[in-house]
Amino acid sequence: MLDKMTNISFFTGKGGSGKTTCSAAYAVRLADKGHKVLIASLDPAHNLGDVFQARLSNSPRKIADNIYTMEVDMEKTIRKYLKDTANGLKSMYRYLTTFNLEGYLDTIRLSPGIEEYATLDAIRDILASRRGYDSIIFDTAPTGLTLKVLALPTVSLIWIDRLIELREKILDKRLAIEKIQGEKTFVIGGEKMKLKTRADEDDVLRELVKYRSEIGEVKETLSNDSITNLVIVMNPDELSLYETERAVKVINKLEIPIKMVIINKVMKDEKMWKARLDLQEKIVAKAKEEFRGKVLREVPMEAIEPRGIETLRDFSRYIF
Amino acid sequence: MSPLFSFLRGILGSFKSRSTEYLEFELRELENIFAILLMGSFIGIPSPPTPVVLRVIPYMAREMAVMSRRAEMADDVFGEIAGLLDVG
Repeated sequence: MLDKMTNISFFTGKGGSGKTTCSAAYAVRLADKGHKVLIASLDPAHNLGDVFQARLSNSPRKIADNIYTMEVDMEKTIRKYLKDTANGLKSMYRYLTTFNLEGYLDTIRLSPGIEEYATLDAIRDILASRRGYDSIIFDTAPTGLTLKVLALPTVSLIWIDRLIELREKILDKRLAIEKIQGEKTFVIGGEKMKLKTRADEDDVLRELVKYRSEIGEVKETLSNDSITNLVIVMNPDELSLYETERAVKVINKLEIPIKMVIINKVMKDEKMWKARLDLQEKIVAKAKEEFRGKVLREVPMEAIEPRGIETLRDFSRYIF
Repeated sequence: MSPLFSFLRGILGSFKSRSTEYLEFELRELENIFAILLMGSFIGIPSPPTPVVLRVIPYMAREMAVMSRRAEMADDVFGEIAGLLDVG
């Protein structure tokens, strides 16, 4: 699927932990070392462009020496994915008037998880067609969505294996009947077709086997620790810690190698805090200006994280 | 073709047909299950990830037709089994 030298990194973590900043910094670091790097944002709420201070699009764009960036347009990916499928279905089911193709595709468009499928497809596309990069970095959506995407190949393989097994049973039965009764045909929509009995002539089995090999390759790439690694970004707070602990457990189950856990936004230097306070003041003022007329609340950072009913009740007085 | 040959051919055809009756019933059921599994999301049973379904559904014309027929006959499943087993 990839050149031997291409390294793949996934950056994931809780929303707002600094995944994009860390992944962008990693891209710059690698580029400085002479690696040709592609960094792709898979987060539907893109902010890679903000971090690089550049306008990014759905296709790779060179923004500095050795650095290529892109923000995957999920809506477009989903539309393309469904359009391709619709074309395949239309040619096959043109005679099935009772089968409401448009309705079927509308249901799929709105079905849960379609975004995960489209994300995995986007990852596959990037991995398959972006030869020539030394490193590919994926800045992903917050942990939950990313874990579902990364689990998809494993889940799909389980289903495909069961379906292949069932299909082979069907073909066995058909072949047994054919041996006694002779070749069988069936008519659908006035079209006469031969009943396929052998594995090499059955389109359904062929497609399942082909898809199995494609997904198997993605799974193999994801779990190959010599080319793929995952970086989790967390913040030094309890909620972030718990989410990271849960994520690590799931990722270990999926056999995806974790390269590093970055603890971002650690308080170290008092002078830095003074600078941060000045910056904060400017941003609060700008937000007040920008969202004039909207209900605005300033909630101070607490020494202890607000967790538990009592603390949340106390915390709520700042907002409501 | 002599009448005797036609008679023997008829007998043989009948034997052949009887010998595969159960197999054909089993095959229809398997094809039906295969289609239901793939279209399961419509009726609320666990179904494979959508891309798997979308990959094979263009080639599932026969299974869809079998599934439609099974749905039409769903009110007389016992009748079909009784016929198959020569009961009644």
